[in-house]
Amino acid sequence: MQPSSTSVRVKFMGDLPALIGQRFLVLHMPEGSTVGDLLAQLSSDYGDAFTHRVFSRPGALHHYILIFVGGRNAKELGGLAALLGNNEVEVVMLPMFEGG
Amino acid sequence: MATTQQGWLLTACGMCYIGCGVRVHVEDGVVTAIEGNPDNPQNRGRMCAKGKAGIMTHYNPHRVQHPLRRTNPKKGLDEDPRWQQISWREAIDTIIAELNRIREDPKKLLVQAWEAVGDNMFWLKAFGSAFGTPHIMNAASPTCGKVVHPVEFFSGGGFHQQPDLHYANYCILVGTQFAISARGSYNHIALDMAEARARGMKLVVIDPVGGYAASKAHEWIPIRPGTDSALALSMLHVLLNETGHYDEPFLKNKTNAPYLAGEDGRYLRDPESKQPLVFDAADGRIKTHDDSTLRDPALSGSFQVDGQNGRPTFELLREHVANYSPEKTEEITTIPAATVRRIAREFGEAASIGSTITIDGVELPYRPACVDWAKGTQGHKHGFHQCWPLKLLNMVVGAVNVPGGILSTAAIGKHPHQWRPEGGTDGMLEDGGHILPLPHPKAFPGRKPTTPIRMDLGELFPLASHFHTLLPITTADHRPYGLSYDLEMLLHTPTNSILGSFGDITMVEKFYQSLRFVAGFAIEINETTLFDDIVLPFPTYLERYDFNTGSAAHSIPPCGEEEFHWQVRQPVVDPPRDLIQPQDVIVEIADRVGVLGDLYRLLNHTYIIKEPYTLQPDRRYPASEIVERTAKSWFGEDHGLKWFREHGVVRLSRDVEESYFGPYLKARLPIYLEHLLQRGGELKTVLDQMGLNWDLSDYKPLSDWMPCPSYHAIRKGEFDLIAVHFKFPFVYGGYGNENPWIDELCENTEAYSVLMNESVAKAKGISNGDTVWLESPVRKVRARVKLTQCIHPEAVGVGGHFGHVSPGMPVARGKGISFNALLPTDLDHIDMISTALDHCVQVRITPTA
Repeated sequence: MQPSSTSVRVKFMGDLPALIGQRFLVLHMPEGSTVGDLLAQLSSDYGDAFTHRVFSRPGALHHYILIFVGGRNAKELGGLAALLGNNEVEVVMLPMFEGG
Repeated sequence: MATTQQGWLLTACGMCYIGCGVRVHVEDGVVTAIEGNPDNPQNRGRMCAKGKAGIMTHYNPHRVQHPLRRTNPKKGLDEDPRWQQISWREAIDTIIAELNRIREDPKKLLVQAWEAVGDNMFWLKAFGSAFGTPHIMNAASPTCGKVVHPVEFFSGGGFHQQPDLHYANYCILVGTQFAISARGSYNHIALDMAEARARGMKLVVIDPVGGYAASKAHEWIPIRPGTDSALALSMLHVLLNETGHYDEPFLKNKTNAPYLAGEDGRYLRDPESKQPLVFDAADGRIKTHDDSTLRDPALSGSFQVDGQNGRPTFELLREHVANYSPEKTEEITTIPAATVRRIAREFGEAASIGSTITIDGVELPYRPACVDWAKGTQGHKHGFHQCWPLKLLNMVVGAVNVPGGILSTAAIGKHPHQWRPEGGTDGMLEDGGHILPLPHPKAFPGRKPTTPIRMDLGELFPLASHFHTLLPITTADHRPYGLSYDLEMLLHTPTNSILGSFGDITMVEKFYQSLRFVAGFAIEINETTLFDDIVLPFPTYLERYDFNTGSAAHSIPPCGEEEFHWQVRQPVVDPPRDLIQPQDVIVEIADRVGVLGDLYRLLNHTYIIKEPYTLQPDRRYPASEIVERTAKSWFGEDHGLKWFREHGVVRLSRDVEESYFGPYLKARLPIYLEHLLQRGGELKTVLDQMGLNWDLSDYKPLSDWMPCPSYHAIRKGEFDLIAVHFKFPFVYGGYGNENPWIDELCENTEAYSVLMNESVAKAKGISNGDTVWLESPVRKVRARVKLTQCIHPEAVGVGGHFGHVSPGMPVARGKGISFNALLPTDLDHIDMISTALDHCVQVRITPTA
């Protein structure tokens, strides 16, 4: 039996709209999908250019990647294991801060 | 409102990026005096000359007080914009229209966000991210900070480094005037430096220019510009191969010195866990670095692992630095071999390897010797490798984040929330600590390079943190990089980037001319403002609300046994009638382009604003309320603006772990940069695919001295001197050149002159005070010469950041020269690791006719 799916609205900020080509996407994900599943789908769709920007190594996000699920920082919800539910997801690639 | 307040009012100085505590005397709405706040632990009541002069910046008669629109479509440093005063509505409408024009392709927006006095850097960055552009400039300088922050975050754990002036007995400054003429928490560390010298700390200054720091030093050692790494490698050779001054237990247990590297320079790894391997001399077995049975990791030897020969990286380092004997490096640096040996030996002996000290009942390693470096060593073609071996000098003697050694600033804290450095990849320090949860700059482990989308080619600099030095190059021709769009719009802070953020002024002028629309905040019409289409008036620091009042609180506070402190900035007088707080302007723009909720979300994250104080997307808050909500979120409901007006500053004591966290760090520090091999290899693959042939010789795990273009140029004979930059304490940190009191200081100290060695000048027929032609490969300017014996004979010293041409700065206009304008700007002058622009440039000096 086919698992039911849900529409997930993804908003991109920072460096990522330039890569994705748009600021919003709607993805159809299986029920019970996680942030990790979503990023895996985006890696599949956008290739190494996405993967290398987002992951420092398999399973580990670069420190400048910030993800909100329903407005809450995904780190507080279990990180890559955070459930998407029916929430809007925001994926932000922040600039590193500097000095001098 | 501020005008109802009289007498002495507490707020934060804003004459540079540090943010000392001040009390401002106000009578009938007029500022009559500014003094240091004795209760503020940053400056302890003291002020620098620049801070004292703040009143004159506030009352600058040429301040921008209304929104302006240019009516002359031609842009240039010599073009009159023909300003026309307009309403705020027209100004904002115009900006909104331009933002909407690029709304579907937001990468065409460039945000120049550096404005470290207050909140606007973080606010404009958040706006840029919410809008969706990758092009956000976080730094003002084309060199300062390019190396030290990315290095410090993976080899120390904090934002910057700072000698422990409380305990150090021997301090070497290379290419920096730390605590004498420059650096974060200046007014605090200036006193600490004086006290350290008074109690007997030996200060050695190594610099082409014998400036303010040298004048306070026990010994000034002039060095040929661009040869710092040769000196450092030579000192390492003396320590490791001649005198044997190195901290073996520290290297074994707290660094990657025992990691085994194969013939290709890469770590030998456990086939299953992929963790780097070491040889345990205690039981003669190969183990992973994190094996719980590891007792005595070997620092020397040769070991077979699955048919491969592996050697500890420490042994590779020792062998490598043996190529840099003092006799050899004397030819490079001009520092006599005997001097190198002496200071290396003095440094090694002063480090007191093996000794301990007890502080508050805790026994800690005691290493009272350190080497500090900063802007001077970073600004080179091979800036990363000019600096890294200097850091290694501290590392090999174990003088990192322990009493007396080199300390990482703001790396760890327990109040008002917790932050600390943590380990990661290969057991190495990976994530430094910072009070704000923003991604910090770090050169480990870096990013996998990809084909660039960014106009600044950030994807091709996988270990760098910011990349704006590339923009004038790619703007001139971005076809080689496969980029098929143009940056079209710039939003900027009052920072004068045209003179301060890039090199070759002709290229920079063309870059700014290429931008279709420019809007920016301004206190005065500086050179950057000359290119604006819309100018937005900006408050002085005496009229502003800021939760972040400068780096001394969040990034570069006094280190060691010092208090944590936080203050907020609030107006002591009302701003001009037609002036709006910049945060309110950004909120208005964000709301009208539909990203206000996103801006708030990023600000809630940046400032750690917790419930019930978080900014809600359906509301608009004035700047004052946002500062108040943030302050209450951090320090409690009773700590609103009123509390800070009455008390000025929050002070919290720090414990031993916060003061000296080295022994508490659960990660290893690097002495061998294996990941540079990996990133270099990945980068070559991408460059090959793009048909680019870049020199990637910097991607090596052990540093070499590699000469700057100027080194070769003067040997060819076309030029005979190398111009270098240095700092004055009274113009440090920008923002002050139009101030008449600072101008007077500059005039009376001949700061507008360039320094030239007396003997060299006389041989050219040049006398003190002469006007000469100073010519680099890209610019020829008139300069007044000050002759001195306190400069290396091959160097020309250019101090400060002068050379203003804007009619909006009548005090500063026509005085001194712009050092940056002299600098060739191309890939041959960009550090391929850090993107620092080479700051030693070949010049010739000739008498004017």
